[in-house]
Order: sequence, then C-alpha cells, then structure tokens
Amino acid sequence: MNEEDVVSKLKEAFGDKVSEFKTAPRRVFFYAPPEYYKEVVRFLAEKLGFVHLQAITATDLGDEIEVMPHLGRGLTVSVRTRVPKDKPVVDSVVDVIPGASVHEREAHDMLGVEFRGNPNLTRILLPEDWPKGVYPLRRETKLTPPKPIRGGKE
Amino acid sequence: MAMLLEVFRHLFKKRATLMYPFGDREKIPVPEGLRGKISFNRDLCIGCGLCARFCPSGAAELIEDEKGKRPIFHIDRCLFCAQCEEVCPRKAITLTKTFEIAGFDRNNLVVK
Amino acid sequence: MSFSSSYERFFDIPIGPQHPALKEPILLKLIVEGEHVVAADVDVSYTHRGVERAMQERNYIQNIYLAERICGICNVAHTLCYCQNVEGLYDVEIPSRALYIRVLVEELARIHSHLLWLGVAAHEIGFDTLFMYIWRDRERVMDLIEEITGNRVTSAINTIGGVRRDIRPETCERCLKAMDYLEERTKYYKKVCETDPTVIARCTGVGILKLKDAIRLCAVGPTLRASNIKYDVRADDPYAVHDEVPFNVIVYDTNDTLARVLVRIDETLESINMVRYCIEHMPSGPVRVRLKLSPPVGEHLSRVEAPRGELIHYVKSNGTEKPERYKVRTPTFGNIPALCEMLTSKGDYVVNIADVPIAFASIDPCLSCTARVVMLEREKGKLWVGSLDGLRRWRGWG
Repeated sequence: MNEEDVVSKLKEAFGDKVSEFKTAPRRVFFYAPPEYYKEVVRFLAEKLGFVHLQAITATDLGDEIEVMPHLGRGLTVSVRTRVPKDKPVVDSVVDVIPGASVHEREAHDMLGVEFRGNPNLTRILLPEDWPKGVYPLRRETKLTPPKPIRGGKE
Repeated sequence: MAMLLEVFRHLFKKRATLMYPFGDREKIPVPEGLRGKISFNRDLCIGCGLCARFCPSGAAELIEDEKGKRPIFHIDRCLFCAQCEEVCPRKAITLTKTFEIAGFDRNNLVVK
Repeated sequence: MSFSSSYERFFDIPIGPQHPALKEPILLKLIVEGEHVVAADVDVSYTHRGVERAMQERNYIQNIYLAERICGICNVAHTLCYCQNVEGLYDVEIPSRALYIRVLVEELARIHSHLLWLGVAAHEIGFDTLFMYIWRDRERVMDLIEEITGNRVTSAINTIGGVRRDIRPETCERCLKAMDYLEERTKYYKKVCETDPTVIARCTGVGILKLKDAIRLCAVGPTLRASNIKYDVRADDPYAVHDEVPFNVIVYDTNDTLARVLVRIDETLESINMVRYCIEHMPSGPVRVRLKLSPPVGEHLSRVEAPRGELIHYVKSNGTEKPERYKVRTPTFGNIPALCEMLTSKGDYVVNIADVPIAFASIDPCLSCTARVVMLEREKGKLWVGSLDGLRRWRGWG
C-alpha cells in the first residue's frame, strides 16, 4: 500500500469530513474533526491494518490544542484533530489500541488534554506533588531559571 | 560451567585493568582529535560573537576588553562539544587533548 | 481488577525509585500474593528533565547537543534522528559519504549498547564473571568510537547537513581488526548463553509476552522481535543508507527473556557485518552540506532504530531559529504497557518476585543505577529497607 492508496481509501470512506492532506515519502498527514477522530482511528487500525501506534503528539497552537496520533509500521499515517483550549476533551482510543494508554497519560500531564473514556489518567511524567492545573508545555507557563548553588557566577 | 576453561586460562594472562593514575598514567591511549580543554588565541579573535550564540550550555560569554569584544570560557559549564571551534571564522579556538581538568575552585576553571 | 485492602492476602511492593534492575530511577508498583506478582504499574517521573520544553528555548544547533543528552547509551541514535528530522524540513540531499559514516558510527554504537546490556543482564542473574569479560571486550568498541568521534560517550558526530569529521584510513584498518576480534568473542558468548545451566534456568520461561499482546500493546525493538514479529525500522522504513547495506532482521519465537538475549547477540553479529560492509564500500566525496540556521515552515517526522527499539522524533517549525514543537518518543516509554503485561501472573504463567529484575531488564531500559527496595508487611506493620543484593538472594516470606 502506498501513500496515494491510503489517501484515496480515506476519502472514499469519509468523504469531505477529512481534509488537509499532505504526503511525503512514506508519510501521510491529514485532519479529522474531533467528532470523527475515534472512528477514523478505528478505520485505520481495523480496516487498513495500521495497528501499531507510535506516539501521540499534543501541541499548543495558541487558542487550540492539536492532538495527533502517529500510526503504522512502514508507512506512517498521522491524524490531526483540534480542540479548543478552554475545553480540551477528545475521545480516548484505548479500547481500539490498548498501547495508547501511556501516550494519553503523557498528553494529559503535559498539556491538560482530557481523554474521554480512558479509565486510568494518572500522573506518569510529573511528580506527585506537582500543582494541579499547571501544564508545562502550554505557552502561558513560564520557566524560571534555577538559582546558583554556592559560589560561582550565574 | 561453560566458562570454566576460559577462566582458568585467564590465570596466566596479563591483567586487563590499567592502574591509572598510580603508575600506568603514561600508557593511557589518547587518540588524536580528542575533545579536551579549550585553548583560545586572543590575537585572532574579531569579536563576532558566534561562539557565544551557538554554545549549548552558555560556557562562552562575550565581554569587552581594551581591544574590543572577546569571549571568555567557563570550563565548568563546557560540554566539550567543539561547536565553538567549528563555527569560529578565524580559527581562534582549538580543543586540546587535556582531559585532567578537575579542581577545587570554580574560579580557576575559566580560560581567558 | 481491585484488591480490597481488608483482605490481607495482597501486599503492595513498591520497587524503586532507586531501582534494582538496571537503570533509570523508576517506580514499579507490584501487587503481590505470596511469592507471585499479580499486577504491576509503572511511574517514570523521576528522570523527567523537561527536554521538550527546553528545546523550544534554544536554537537548532544548540538542540543537537541537548538531544544527544537525552540518553547516554543511545546518543548516536538521538542525534541521528534529530539531524534527519531537521534536514527533512530543508528537503536537501546529504552527501553519500556522510551517510555511510553515519551508519558506521550508528552500528558501532549498537554493538556497544548490546554488549553493555548483555553484561548487565548477566549481572542481574548473578553471573558476574560473564559481566566482567563482556565489558572488557566492549572497551575495544569504546576506543574505536573515541578515535572516530573524539569522545567515548556523547559522540556528537552528526550535525545538520552531514557529519562533522571525516574518517582516516588508519582508523578503518584498526576498525576491521577490532571487528574480527569482536566477532570471535561474540560467538563465544552466544555459546555460553545457549549452554550454560545458570543462564538457561534463570531466563527460560521468564517474562513471557505473547504475540497478540505484543501487537496490541505496541511493543518495539528486541522485545517485539523475540515474540516472532518481524519489524525493524531499518528494513521497513529505511533511512540513511540502510537500503544499500544488507542485513537480516533477527526474530525468535519463544517469547521469553532467553529469546531477547539471543536476539540481541545475533543483532550484534549482524552489526559487525554491517560495519565491515560500510568500511569496504565507503564512497569518496564531501562529508557536509552547509545550511542556513532557520529552516522553512513545516513539519517532519523521523524514525530510527535505536538499540532499544523504534525511536521517533517530530518537529514543527515556524520559520524562526527555534523550533515551535519538538516531540521525542523513546523506545522504553513505548514498551511500558508490554512490561506491565509481562509482570502479571495469569493462569499457568506465574511471575515470582525473583523474576522481576531480569524480566524488567530484558526490555533494556536506559541508564544505570543502584537499588533499594522498601518492603511492607501489612499484618505486622513493619517497614524495612532491603538492598540490591538482598533482592537478588530473595528467598521469600517463609
């Protein structure tokens, strides 16, 4: 299966709900709205055979948060979806691909994305006494440089 | 059990550990091109500031002296990555083969 | 699955954060019934350094060295993945000699990492003699890496646009001699691992991960290849010159720790052949292409087969000299669901506490550490601290 076949099969199954296609050698990127996100992932995993989930990237775009899982072994397909920042709720894909649990926990810790349907959204990367509501990878969070430890210039 | 013969043969071989620094110090093989302590030539420097811009850890710091802008190097922050050597347009910075740099006072670890 | 605390059959044993088997301070929470582990969960927050956030504050050249320090053992894989990623944004062609040198150093790093792991795994089962001998032979590879790149660890030979140094003919000669020596020694260690009664007793049937579970939980690397799945990024999604350098993807089908040991030894032998091929077929030409500091706007995804599995980096650039978003997914992180599955007793398959260090070590987590275990006996209300050696010689509650 090459990139063009994947694009045409997706267009056939979902019509114009999927858009913004970009292809490169062995890479396909496209957009699906949040309501159809889980259906698209299920279609890719069960019908087209992209069972291996590599990672889930979450990016802060200013007013929106973009959640993008990357699927596949030889050819990588990345599905983008965007949710508003004040209510970042996305469907969880843990029942389709159980290996997504650690990636969703990471996105939840770092950017505060809620995955509806994930039973275990506990802390995985931040320490247990990290204050709630502070998300390190969001643009508003400022970093403070560390204090010098005795002697030496800063 | 599978290794018994090999272990027995090693009783008659030379020890593999080099007793650095108590006696075998000269036998340490130091290859050409080892990235060690920085040495800086003030006369070749033109004050462009590229070394300070590309240093990953902030070890190269640009200051003013009587001849113009020039960097000083904080070896306690240096990563020995040689990025400054690569980017300097006048080849004023070189990395020597000195790797024994430890000391007690942070202020001694500055190359001027 | 819920374990009610009023029924005192189940104990919680937190293993970590200064941890018994190998590396990173990691918290393994085991729920134990007698001697058997019934459930496991993992907390990896102890080595979180905020690298992804730090990369957003530095320019692309400074980030090469930050990417290198994500892991000390896989540093070549991280710089390779980073440089490939940023070069993909520019969409430029890298000279062939640079690609051959990249593959050469990457395969040398793979040999060094697998020998390191083999020694540490031998140490985990108590076979210290094998550990010492393997690490003595590994020094030949470290000396070679130091001669080619200038440093034993943190090689920093990859840069955006190619490699920073060329390789001299004398170094190539020494490299070929070292490969002959290492091949002989690796074949000997393979014989030891296949026939020694201690290794066979401690590793067979331990840490089983069935094929269906490995696919469902998205395991990567030798953990996956020991469960009979043929997946290697160098073969399925080739990068650098891996489509020209011939090699075999090693697969075993017994699903246990001994299979993982043998997969890694065989991969070391394949890497030795790849190093020989690279030296004999190295083309001549430039080793570097000069590029501007700020790449064009866009995004790119790059994958590399690190010694521990599939490593993926994703970059999104907005045209300035600092990246807008950089994402790193390391192979050990991807193996965490598979690890929790491996440490769960189900039906006929039982996991003893004494199997936990070697089962955990068999997924090859990254970086070395010492260990302490806190035991709590709920009924008696006692809390005492065990030691690394104590855990290895653990004889049970009775």
